[in-house]
Amino acid sequence: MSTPTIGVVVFPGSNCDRDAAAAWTELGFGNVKMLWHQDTDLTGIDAIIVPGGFSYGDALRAGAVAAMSPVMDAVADFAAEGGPVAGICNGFQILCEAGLLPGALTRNAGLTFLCKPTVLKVCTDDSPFLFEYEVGGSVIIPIAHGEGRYVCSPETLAELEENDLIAFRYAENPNGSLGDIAGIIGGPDRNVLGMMPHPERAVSEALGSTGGIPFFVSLAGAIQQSLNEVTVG
Amino acid sequence: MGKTQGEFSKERCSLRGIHLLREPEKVDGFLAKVTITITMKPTLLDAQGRTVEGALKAIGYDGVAGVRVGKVIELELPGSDVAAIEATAAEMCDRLLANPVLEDYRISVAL
Repeated sequence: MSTPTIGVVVFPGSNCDRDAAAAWTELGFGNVKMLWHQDTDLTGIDAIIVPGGFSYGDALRAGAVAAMSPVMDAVADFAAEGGPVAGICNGFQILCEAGLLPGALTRNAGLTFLCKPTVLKVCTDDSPFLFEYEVGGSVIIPIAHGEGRYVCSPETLAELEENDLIAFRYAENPNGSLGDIAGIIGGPDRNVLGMMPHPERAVSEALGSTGGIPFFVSLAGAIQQSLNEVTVG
Repeated sequence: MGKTQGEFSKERCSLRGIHLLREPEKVDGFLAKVTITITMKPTLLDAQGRTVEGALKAIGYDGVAGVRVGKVIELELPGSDVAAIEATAAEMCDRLLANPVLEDYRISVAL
């Protein structure tokens, strides 16, 4: 059986790519392949993380330029086929700009850059990244963003709520996000997740919180399940 | 595989519901100056505008209201057909320069 391998996308200006890769390997779940923004070959990759950072220096809007890069074409195809894709922080902004998730992220209501632990309410566990979380429970995961205010049309918000597509809400809204939204789900099989908080920074007591561990455990389980299905099938 | 960035972003237009209008206009030796003004949608909180408005009031402009902070993008496009240049600029806004969830844009063309 092949070892579960996640791809971590690296743009000029990404800065959480190594943290995401380290979380996966340190927790012992498998291998990581770093994907440059011009790569389009995702052969052998079981899931993709679009990490945090300041891709292209946030030129124009956070994530706008990265969303136009060749790797995102491959990521869009991967997501369309049901492959798990998570965008964290700048990654969430990129997935929205690329049209893989609805809505957009803009300047925090208070204008300041916020870097602190936040308490998140888990709203659903129905996603490859979430099934180890307990719906209705709370987890602590840090945020670190200046443009994290989630915005969408009233119609999109109604769709998100009706279809159980809100992954996390802030217990105390730090940035003015619509509906206290911290993370949402999309994709054909609920396989695309975008979230502003950083689960890769919450995988050890030494880091201050372990609220991100279920994110990686869920993903490892989902990959293992799909690999088993391939082997059996 | 081996797609150019142009081909790539054309494919992605459907994800954002954008219909590509047309091929670039023929070059006729003219160069138009295009000014694109992008502002936050009026229904959304413009956090920068609110802060600047507070600062203006603080330095004595008590009556000021409705401050919005946006951005201006200037560029040049070949051609002299104003309608065609405006259409190209609008396409640029829809595909990259503005985010329709957040922003509105205005285009002006000077030959």
